[in-house]
Amino acid sequence: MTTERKWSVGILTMIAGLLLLPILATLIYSFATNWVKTILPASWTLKWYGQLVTNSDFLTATINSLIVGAAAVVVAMVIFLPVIFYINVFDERLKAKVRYLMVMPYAVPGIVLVTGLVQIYGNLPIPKLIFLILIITALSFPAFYQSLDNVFMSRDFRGMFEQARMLGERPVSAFVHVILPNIKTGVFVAMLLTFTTGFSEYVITNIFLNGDYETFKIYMYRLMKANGNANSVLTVCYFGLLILVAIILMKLSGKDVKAGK
Amino acid sequence: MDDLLTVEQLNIGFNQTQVIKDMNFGVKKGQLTSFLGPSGSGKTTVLRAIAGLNKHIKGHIRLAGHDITSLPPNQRNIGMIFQSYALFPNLTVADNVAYGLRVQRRPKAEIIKRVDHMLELTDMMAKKDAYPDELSGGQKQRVALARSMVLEPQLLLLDEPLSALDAKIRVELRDQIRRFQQELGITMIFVTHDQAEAMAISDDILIMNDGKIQQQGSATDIYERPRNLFIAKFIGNNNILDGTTLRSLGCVVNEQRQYVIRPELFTFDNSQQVSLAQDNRHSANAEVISIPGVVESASLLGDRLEFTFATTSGPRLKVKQLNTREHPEVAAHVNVLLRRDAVTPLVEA
Repeated sequence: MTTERKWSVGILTMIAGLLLLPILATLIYSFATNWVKTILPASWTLKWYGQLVTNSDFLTATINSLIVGAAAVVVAMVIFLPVIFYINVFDERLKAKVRYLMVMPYAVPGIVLVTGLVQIYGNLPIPKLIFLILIITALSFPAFYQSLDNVFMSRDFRGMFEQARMLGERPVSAFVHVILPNIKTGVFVAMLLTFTTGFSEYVITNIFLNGDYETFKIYMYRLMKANGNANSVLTVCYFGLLILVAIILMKLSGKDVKAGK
Repeated sequence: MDDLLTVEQLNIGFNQTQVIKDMNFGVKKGQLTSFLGPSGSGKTTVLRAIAGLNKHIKGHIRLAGHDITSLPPNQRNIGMIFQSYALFPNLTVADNVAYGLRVQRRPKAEIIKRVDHMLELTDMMAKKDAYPDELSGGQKQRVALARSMVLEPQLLLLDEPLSALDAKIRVELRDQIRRFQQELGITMIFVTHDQAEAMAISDDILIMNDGKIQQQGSATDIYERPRNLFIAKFIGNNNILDGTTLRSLGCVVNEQRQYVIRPELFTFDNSQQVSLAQDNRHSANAEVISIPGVVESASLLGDRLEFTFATTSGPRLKVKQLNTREHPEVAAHVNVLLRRDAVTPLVEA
């Protein structure tokens, strides 16, 4: 192994360690009865998991977050995917304008954004949950767009789409049969990032819905003040759920195309 | 022979800019017609209009007598080969070729039979189960051809299909396309900016520039009788001279017109001295004009040599000869001979 390679591997290992160590500590803490002065916990238990799983607040918060995450994915797929396809395949000049849109969620601080949203949409006679889902979908646009934009740049999708049309396909079936199978990887990443944005959102959900709709993150914050062990269990469950969703999405998008080899 | 495709009063504009202007032409059934022109001349725009991929058009496009102007691409019975091949990367070679037949819901046995036949014809049977990313550029283009030809379209459009290939493969595939066209009797429109490519395989050539057809005719017509200055400059490496200059060289021509002389129609006259040649320079009856001058430079083009010949009376001529090793050296004082009928007047300015 060359010196340069050794340095690279060493630095990557350090970064991985830095990121994984808190997760490992949280995992250990979730099984600990008491962990204060020793390197490892003095004794182990499943009590915290038992308490959490039987807690109806936990189930409600999980379902609420799953609803927000899944709904954001559906809305993004229906609205964003065709638009991003159109921009990339038929009107690349729009890309310059899209870049402004992508910066907006980062340029406006969350608290300023939510204050404005409450002012505008807070009193409308439409369920606030619908607005919340639309807002979170909009916030996930940069990640959704970037995941697909990279894929669309990798091949001549316009040629493929038009070729499918010349071979007898209608526009929608050409998109479904030719374009979708070849952007699977990008669609998977875009869906996962959108889901994560929705599932883990805290500031907007808490303020916009005034605490009436307890999501996973809001429940986690409430629990953190009461019981550290239970909060560790919740964190482990949070990671476990995201991994599960990633596996499900991977299965749904099927095996990767040969082209990606 | 009847026109399979007729284009009448075709006008295409993008963003207030008129790209195609009042274009009219016909494409004969069973022939290979080339659209030849420089980049931006409108070749691909017209091709896409014929395919139905360009909606911003005015005028009429008729295929076998039917007006297809407003039909979507999937209802035109026209095939198209793209420059980028546009193969579907997630499908094997056989599945790519079978794609259109599956869209048409043909019986499975018929699909297998027709796909196999087309893969045999294009010599791609051995790569039947390969994916597009495992193929070379030439193989990809052969699959693209097979995929379109298997549907037996009334008209096959090829949009610069060889431009991404290296020189040797280009020539091989060019000849294969011509062979397929003749064997299967397909009517093809072939877009290219390469004049040699167009002349080698076309029955009919449409020269385009600035959104207009400059000349339509056989390769011989266009090469030997370019209609205007643009074509004379675009095709070959012609000598373009005005009447006054030609008169100074001894030709009896109209001084108001412009003329074209192909460089290969000059021959070096090594047997005569310059002074002897002067005698018949101004003879109106001479069939061959002898022009004295100096060989200024010579470039080797492989099988031919291209000379710059500075005439005694002033103008420089381009002279092309077969590389037979019997050619004058640079700086040699010689005469070039020119037959009177090699001087072709331009019809338009």
